[in-house]
Order: sequence, then structure tokens, then C-alpha cells
Amino acid sequence: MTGRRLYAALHVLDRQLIDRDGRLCGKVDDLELAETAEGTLYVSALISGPGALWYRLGGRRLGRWLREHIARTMSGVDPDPDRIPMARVSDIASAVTITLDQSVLATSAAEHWVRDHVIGHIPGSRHDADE
Amino acid sequence: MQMSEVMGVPVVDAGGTHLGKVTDIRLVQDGPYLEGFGNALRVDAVVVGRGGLGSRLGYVRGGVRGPWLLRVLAAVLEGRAFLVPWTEIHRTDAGFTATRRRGDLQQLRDAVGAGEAP
Repeated sequence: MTGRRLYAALHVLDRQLIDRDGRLCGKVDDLELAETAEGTLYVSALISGPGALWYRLGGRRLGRWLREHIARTMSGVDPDPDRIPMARVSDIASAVTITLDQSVLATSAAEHWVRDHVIGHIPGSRHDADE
Repeated sequence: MQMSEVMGVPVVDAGGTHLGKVTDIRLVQDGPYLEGFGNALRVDAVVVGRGGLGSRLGYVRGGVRGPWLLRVLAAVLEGRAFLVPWTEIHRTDAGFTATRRRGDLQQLRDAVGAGEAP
């Protein structure tokens, strides 16, 4: 055994995700594991996004409800958590860097929905804070 | 399968003695090469113990040093955990069964003490 060793819960879960432009884009909520025909398990993807954290923490009904609620109330927002293939992960350190753009992730989709449908309707919200 | 389906699963040894629950998974980066990431992360072993929070504080594996009282308490909890190779785990309806008996399993503190980088 010569490769780098990591403990998944200690070193990967809940780490900050950083997109290819250095923007924060959620946390690692779960890991997808794929099994080969020989029975070896590999990490195939990182899971991040709506409901995934609740699902991991045992609130499976709450996680499912959150996804269904997002699907019902936030038109245009994908209610499923993001699956980030390991080939799109460039580094795992104190944060996890990915080679995707923040805008394609479900976490930012919910944020954009709130910006367009809630914040955008508040008078004075259409200019920069320092103007 | 997702990692959350492995975490918290009860584990018994070959004699049926309850060892605890899966509190972490040790990954080794020696799998097939993935363009952009490097070698894939292989599931090498599971950490089995009784301390959920204590085992995640990093006092044994993460190099956390203080405060000293927490360090002592957490190190006791985490150090008692077992490291069970994934190849020695059988899945049953009730959870996981290790192929070895409790006395033959490696304790987490021994794995770290044997030179494993925290």
C-alpha cells in the first residue's frame, strides 16, 4: 500500500468545494462508491447539493422532502444533488478544488433562484452595496 | 452505493461479538489512473468504533493537539476503534461481519502508531 491515505469522514466530507475560478460552491456532502467485478470499491464521485447532507445524517425522509419541495417550488432548479465525477476533481486538501464552473452546480442554482425571485424584488436591490 | 450507506452500519466480529459501528472509511489513492485527478481512491478499510463524534475530532488521525483534556478523552475513544480491511468484511442483512475475531483486529491507534501519516 503506497498511495496517499485519507480518511473519508475526517479529510473529505464537509470540505469546502472551490470551482475552477476559485469561487466557493458548496460542501462535500457524500461520496459515491462504485464496486468492480472483483469487489473492490472506488470513490467514483463527490455528492453535493440539496438534501444530500440531510440524507447522509440519517434524515432520509427530510432529505427526500427537501428535494421534492425544491422541485415543486423552485421552477428551473434541479432538485437532485450534484454528482461531481472524480475526474473533475483536481485537488483534495483543506478544501476540494474541482474543474467545473460554479454555475452548473445545483447549490448555486438555488442561490440564483432566490436572487431572481426574492432578492431581486426588494426595492433597491438592483445596485451595488457601495453605490 | 453511497458512503452514507456504509457509515453507521453495525459490525460484528467472526464470533458474533459487537464491535461498534462504521465511523469512517480509510481511502488509499492507488486505484486506476483518472485524468485530471490521479489515481482513484480505493476503499481500503473501515474504522469501527463506539465513539461517533470523538472518532472524528482528529486527535489520533488528524494531528490535533489541544486542549489537552479533550485530547486525552478523544484519543481514548478514537484509539479504541478498530481498523477492519474492506476485503475482510462480509455484508449481511444485519450489517457487516468481520472475518477475524476482535483480538486479531488491528486497533486504530496501532495503525497510526505504525507510521501512518495523520
